[in-house]
Parts: sequence; C-alpha cells; structure tokens
Amino acid sequence: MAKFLITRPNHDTVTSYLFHWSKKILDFASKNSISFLDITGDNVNKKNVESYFKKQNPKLVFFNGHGDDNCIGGFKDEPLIESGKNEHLLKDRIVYSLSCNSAKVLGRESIKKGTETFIGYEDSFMFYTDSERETTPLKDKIASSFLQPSNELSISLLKNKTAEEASIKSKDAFKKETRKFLASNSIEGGEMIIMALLWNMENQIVLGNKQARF
Amino acid sequence: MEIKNNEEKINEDIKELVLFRIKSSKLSPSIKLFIGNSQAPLTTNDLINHVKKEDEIGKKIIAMQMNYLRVLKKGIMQC
Repeated sequence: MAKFLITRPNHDTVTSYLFHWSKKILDFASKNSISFLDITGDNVNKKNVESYFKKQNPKLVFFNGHGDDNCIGGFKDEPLIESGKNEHLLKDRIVYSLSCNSAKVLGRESIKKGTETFIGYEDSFMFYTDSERETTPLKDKIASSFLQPSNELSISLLKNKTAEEASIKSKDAFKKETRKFLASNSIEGGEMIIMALLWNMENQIVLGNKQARF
Repeated sequence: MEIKNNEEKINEDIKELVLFRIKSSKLSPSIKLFIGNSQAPLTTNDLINHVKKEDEIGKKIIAMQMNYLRVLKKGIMQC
C-alpha cells in the first residue's frame, strides 16, 4: 500500500516545472524505501484521485498544480478537491498543496471536515524562471531558488519531521535563497526575485495539527 | 493609504513607487515571473503594464512589493 500520494499534472509551463522539480521528492522516497503513488499527466483527474484515496488511503498527500481559494486543480486544471464538495476526502490526512491560494478557504474548510494538517499558500505561489531553461527546468537556477524550498517541506515530512518543523525548514530555505540574492551582485534585478521569495515564505501556512507527523 | 486587500483602490503614490522600482530593477529579459495560474510568464514590461492597469495581477505585484518593504522595515535578515 502506498504511503503517500503525489499529483503531477504536466500541461503548461508552470505544471511542467512542478512536475520536474517534484521528481526530487520521489528520488528521496525511492532511496529511503518509502512507497508512493505518483499520478501524472492526464491521469491527474478527479475520478482517479478519489479512487486512489479510497483504495490506497494515503496518510500524506502532495498536490502540485494550479488552484484557487476553493480548489486544487489537476490536469488542465480539472478540479480535484473543492471546498464544499469533496474536501472530506482529505480527512485524517496530512496535505501539502503547492497550488495557489488553496490554503485560504479550501485549507481551512478541509480542517473543519477532519483533515489532520493542511500546509499550503494563502495567496499565489510566485516563481521566476529563466526562459532560456524552460525546456530543461531542473537546470534553471532561478526556478531552483523557489522550488527547492518547497521540496524541502515535502522531504522534511518524509523524514518524519512535524508539519510545523517541515514548514520552518522550508521557510529557512526561502531565507537562505533570499540571502544568496542579497549577497550576490551576479544577477541584476535580484531584488525582484527576493520580493517573490519573501512573498511565498509569508504566504505559506500550516493549518490544523502542527505537530502531525507522517 | 495602506493596502489592506486587493479590492481597495491603489494609492497613486504607491503605484508610482512600485512602477519606479520595477523600471529600475534591470532584471534580465530572460528572467520572467509566473504568478499563480498565469499561463504565460510575465516580463518586466508586462509587470509595468499590469500595475498601470491596476488589474488583478497588477494589484498582486503591488502587494508583493509592499510586503517586501514591510519586511525591509522590520529587518530582512530577521524575517
């Protein structure tokens, strides 16, 4: 039985970056013999996700994709989890949603419906990319500054850190990246990148049981 | 006037400050921003246009910059 579930739609540039960078989470899991279910591409639809929840009952779920206040999206932004509709599917689970705004309403509503912990973003997750690296996202050092801190959260949860500790690790990683751009004159306009890093850091929140562990 | 949420009318002084900061940022043209559900990455010129229009993305860019200034005020290394 899979211990955690991860969704990785891959239908535009944003989801392509999330798809490739979240592979590092799976590499960590594989090296540490942690079983997982990786739903990718057009398989990231509501029907499949609901089915996998029932069959596999994963304790931990990582969502990657677009979203809004009330919804986490899948392939081509098909709603997977919606506030007032099926957030009960997250009951007793620890969720990390790398999906814009989804902590704002859906996260809070899901906690009311029994989700153990919901970690996500209250507003948009922003990231800069180097457009010359869009076909090879893992070589994009600018995007790395945004997506590595997010991975830090997921990997910390897999290392059995509490939700709160995992979020602190992630925020520390955002700070580390911020300092890198503060200290370095190698990138002109680095202040713009710092703004987005701080924005993500400030908007990342842990709802529900902060002491929950995987 | 403080920006409390995206619905509020943006103070012209704040808007001008944000525009000035973006224009003077000298970010490489190849480095582009993805905000939320945007399908296309935003260039520096796109950021300027959105702020000028005060549309949803423009308001978000302004909020991001104001957040940065607040963090600067309290000490960026302590953030």
